[in-house]
Amino acid sequence: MVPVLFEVAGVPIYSHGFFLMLGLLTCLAVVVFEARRRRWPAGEVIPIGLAAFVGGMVGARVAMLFFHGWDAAPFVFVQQTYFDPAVGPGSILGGVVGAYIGGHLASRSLGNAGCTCDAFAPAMALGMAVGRIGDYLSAEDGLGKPTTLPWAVPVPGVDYLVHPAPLYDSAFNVLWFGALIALRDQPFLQNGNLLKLAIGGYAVFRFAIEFVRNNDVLAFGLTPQQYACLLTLGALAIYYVRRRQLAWR
Amino acid sequence: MAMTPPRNSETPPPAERTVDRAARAFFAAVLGFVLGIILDFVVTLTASPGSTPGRYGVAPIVLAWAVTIGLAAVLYRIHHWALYGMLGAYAALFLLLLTSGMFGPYTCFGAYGYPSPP
Repeated sequence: MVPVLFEVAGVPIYSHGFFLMLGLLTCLAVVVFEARRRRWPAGEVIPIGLAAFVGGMVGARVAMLFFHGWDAAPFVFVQQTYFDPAVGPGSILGGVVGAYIGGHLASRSLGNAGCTCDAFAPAMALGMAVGRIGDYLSAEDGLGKPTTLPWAVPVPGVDYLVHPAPLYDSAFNVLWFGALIALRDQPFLQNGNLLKLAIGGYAVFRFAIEFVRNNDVLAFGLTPQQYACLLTLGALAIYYVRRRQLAWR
Repeated sequence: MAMTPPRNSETPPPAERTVDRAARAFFAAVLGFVLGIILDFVVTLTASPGSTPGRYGVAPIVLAWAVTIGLAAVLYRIHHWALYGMLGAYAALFLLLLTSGMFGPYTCFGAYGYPSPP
């Protein structure tokens, strides 16, 4: 593992923070590129982008209550800790859901019927692909469960090999980014549908990958993150069923 | 000769109106940004030095959220770009947080540990 990536004039640059920042900047760059390609007016991109950003920040924190229980409450409710670099943002899953809610509310406040946030779909996937490299290099959460597979990796502190789970996440997101780029101009994937597909696809993948991660089991052999994925997929299913019912009337 | 509608001398021509609207949106966004930064500074000041999140009282926590949400609502009523300016302040502070995170071990809600041997 490489917790310190390099040094600048004797100051260590930590891999987790570096790749988190790089992932966010990558996400921003893809959003800007996509917004220009889609001729999305700046008067919509900026408010929706800011609302998604802050929604993601709050969602990442609030999700920790669900994933870590009441122990996380001091970090979730105390606003003073939101910008403490020693604490960090929180959960990616919560961040994605929070960003979606923030972007959707801003989109509605601008008078749009639904969420016009499809430019965020490929951006989110590529940003996560980059950010997960930092998780791998810093051995976040011990990477994964023990395994004897040929690509297993060592982690400090234990004498067995583990799944490089963040790299699975990163590899999936690179492929998912390519798929979303290929699908982005399909007529049936406009008006927020591409973003919903992006979130749904990641939820399916994340549900599967949780079986080799180190998160605690909540009930029935599933982790809180897996329940969050099921809730997300359930919400998407309800949305599309209701939309179909409305279309039939 | 084409008929031109009578022009109200108090109504500025469209180009001027657009510039005026853009200027108002810009100043509203700046106002929201500055107030967002000031509010975060004030909220941070309410934390006594060395105190940990678990040792905050309930009242300052509730008050901080009430004032923040209240200010956001007031700014939105004044001009919607004022609220986006406030969101911009929080986004800027968050980027600052991430930048600071590059220079130190990133701990999230506890130091990243390793699983116990099976």
